[in-house]
Amino acid sequence: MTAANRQNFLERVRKAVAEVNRPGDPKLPLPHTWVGRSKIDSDLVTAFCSALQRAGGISHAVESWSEVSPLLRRLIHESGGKNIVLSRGDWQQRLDLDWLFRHGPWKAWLTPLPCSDTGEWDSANDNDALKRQLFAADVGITGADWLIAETGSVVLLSRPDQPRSVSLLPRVHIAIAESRRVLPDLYDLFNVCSPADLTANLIIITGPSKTGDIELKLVTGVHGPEQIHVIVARETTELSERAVLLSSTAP
Amino acid sequence: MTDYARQEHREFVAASRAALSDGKLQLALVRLTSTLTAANRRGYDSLPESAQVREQARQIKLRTLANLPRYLEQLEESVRSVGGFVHWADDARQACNIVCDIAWSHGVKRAVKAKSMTTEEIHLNAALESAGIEVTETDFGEFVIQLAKERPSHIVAPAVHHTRESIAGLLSNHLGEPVPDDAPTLAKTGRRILRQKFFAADMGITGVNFAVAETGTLVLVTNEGNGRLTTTWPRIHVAVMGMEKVIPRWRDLPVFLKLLARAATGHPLSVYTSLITGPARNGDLDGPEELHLVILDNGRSKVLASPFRESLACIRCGACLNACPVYRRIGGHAYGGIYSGPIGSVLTPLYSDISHNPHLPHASSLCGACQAACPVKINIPHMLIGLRELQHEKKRNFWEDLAYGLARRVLQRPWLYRLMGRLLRWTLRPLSRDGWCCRLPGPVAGWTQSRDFPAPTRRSFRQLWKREMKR
Repeated sequence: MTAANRQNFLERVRKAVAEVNRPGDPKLPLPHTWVGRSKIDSDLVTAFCSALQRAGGISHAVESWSEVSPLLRRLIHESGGKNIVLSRGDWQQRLDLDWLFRHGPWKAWLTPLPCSDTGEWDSANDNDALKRQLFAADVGITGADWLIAETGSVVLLSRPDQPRSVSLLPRVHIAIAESRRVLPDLYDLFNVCSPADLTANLIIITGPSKTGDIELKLVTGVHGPEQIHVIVARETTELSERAVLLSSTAP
Repeated sequence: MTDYARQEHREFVAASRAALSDGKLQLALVRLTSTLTAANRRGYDSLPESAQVREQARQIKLRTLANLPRYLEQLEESVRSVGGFVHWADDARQACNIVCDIAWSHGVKRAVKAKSMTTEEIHLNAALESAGIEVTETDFGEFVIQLAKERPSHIVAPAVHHTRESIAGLLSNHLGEPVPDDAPTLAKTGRRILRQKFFAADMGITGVNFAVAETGTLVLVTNEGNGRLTTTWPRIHVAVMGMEKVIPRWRDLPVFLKLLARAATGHPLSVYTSLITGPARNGDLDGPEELHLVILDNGRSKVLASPFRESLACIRCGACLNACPVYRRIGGHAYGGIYSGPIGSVLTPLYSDISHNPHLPHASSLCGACQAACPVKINIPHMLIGLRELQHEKKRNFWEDLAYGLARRVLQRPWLYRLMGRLLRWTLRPLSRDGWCCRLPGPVAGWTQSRDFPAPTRRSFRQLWKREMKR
């Protein structure tokens, strides 16, 4: 029945289209243009930071990676978070996070990886416990695949080492990335990220979770994080080269 | 959508009157439309070359519609190749059956839903509930609407007609404990209630803002994050899309994303733009195990074959509602359909039947503000006129025909025209005072019910003209 249904459906649409189309109507898709691409004249990191602030997020541009760790520590203290979850990424290898996992009045944990041989999760039970843990987390720390200067957005691709929940379930989301990840415009994202790079979920996050449903007053944190911090580390050429090396050895 | 369609013109007039005398609603409408209309302008202003971007978006949509079968097949192929299932639904009933069947065959007890006009259109909630499945709306405004057992009054701000106090009342009732009526506490309470729902749900139901044929990517735009939560932990994700939502290529998408939020709320992007390409992949810790896409016709192919095809380019931003002088006074409910405002006046009669919605093509002053605000520049006034024409052809009005027939005869004969003009001036003169007629008699009394009619001048244009020529 489904196959017949599909045939009927498409046949009906074909007829409907033929009804109004005229011979000589343009058949080919429109050529791509980058019309409306923003022209950013200040440097990208500064532009990103001000766009993020406009969207209600909090930006932190730092001059080197060594400043990231103390800053992160301050942010976690200020958040009052007790249950801190981190997704994995090459950014972690640039930081000394010993203090995070060993000391402090909190529990910090990395999202687990699937069994390395099979790529599968062990059992459904484990997954349920994990789900509980993730729902209980109050600070989520992630990297960022890209940042968009035009809009102040953080872009994350779902991967086994970068689950969706970390940027979604906690009250506070902190994203950490180096300055080479900043793209000027939304158009650039669709250029650097090709269809072949897509995973099950690509999320473009622009500011904290918001609702205007209560008398049109903006309230944050109705479903997702009420605060989003983005730490952008400027890097020298040497560091960028190191980044390339590091990313090739990332787990 | 016939269950609350207004069958008679007077029902619409009555509903509008009720809306006009509802003080709270009027306050909410002023707040909503002034905020969002300004936001819409600010949004376009902040986008370089916005006129060209809108034209580009419009052209992509129109060309896609002209080649729709090809793109639908490509979309099906792409969604399948990333592990999703595709279903085709001719109408609302079929679509509901498909979703209920998926729920049954997977033993689903609880479903969460992100805001979606399409699922409102097919009345999916009622279908699922009668199949014994608990459905929870998760957009905060929609959740309020669900608790109040109402329907949305605005595409992007469904609960705009509610106040803090009424929301607090609804939440208190639901929880059985008092909830303070300040906005942050209300939002927190909503978060607490809905988190439990998200945790327990086996199925997540969403609409689709755009579907990319090239990649099989389903795009979901929300500000609250409920779209993400709906598609992260429930085992099954069901997306219901109107067939006009398909766009051809990956790189067509940013053109629309740049426009949607700017037109709706003035922001460069909505907070969460989810690009979903298939169910969770091997090794993913979260994300649904199964993804089902339901492609819905429900009257759209009828529109596709009509001169009203352009209305299918709508991206549901709500900008025309905020700009419309009629919507701004009567709000969404008076229209009597799922889709309200100018675009609703076009879509509702087209998707269902114009004879069920005789008032809608007339619920407009044809001022053109809707078209000016529309991100894809749909010529809504033109289509409303077209619908009036259609209506006239379907059901001729004796008195209207008589009036126009007489007018034709008068206009064809100069001597008769002159005579009628003189007669009219003579009749109107005793009725007017200080240059205005405040009350016209008989069948034309309606005209002066809410405005005055200018009194006739002492001399007709022809007389003045003759006199000028003599000088």
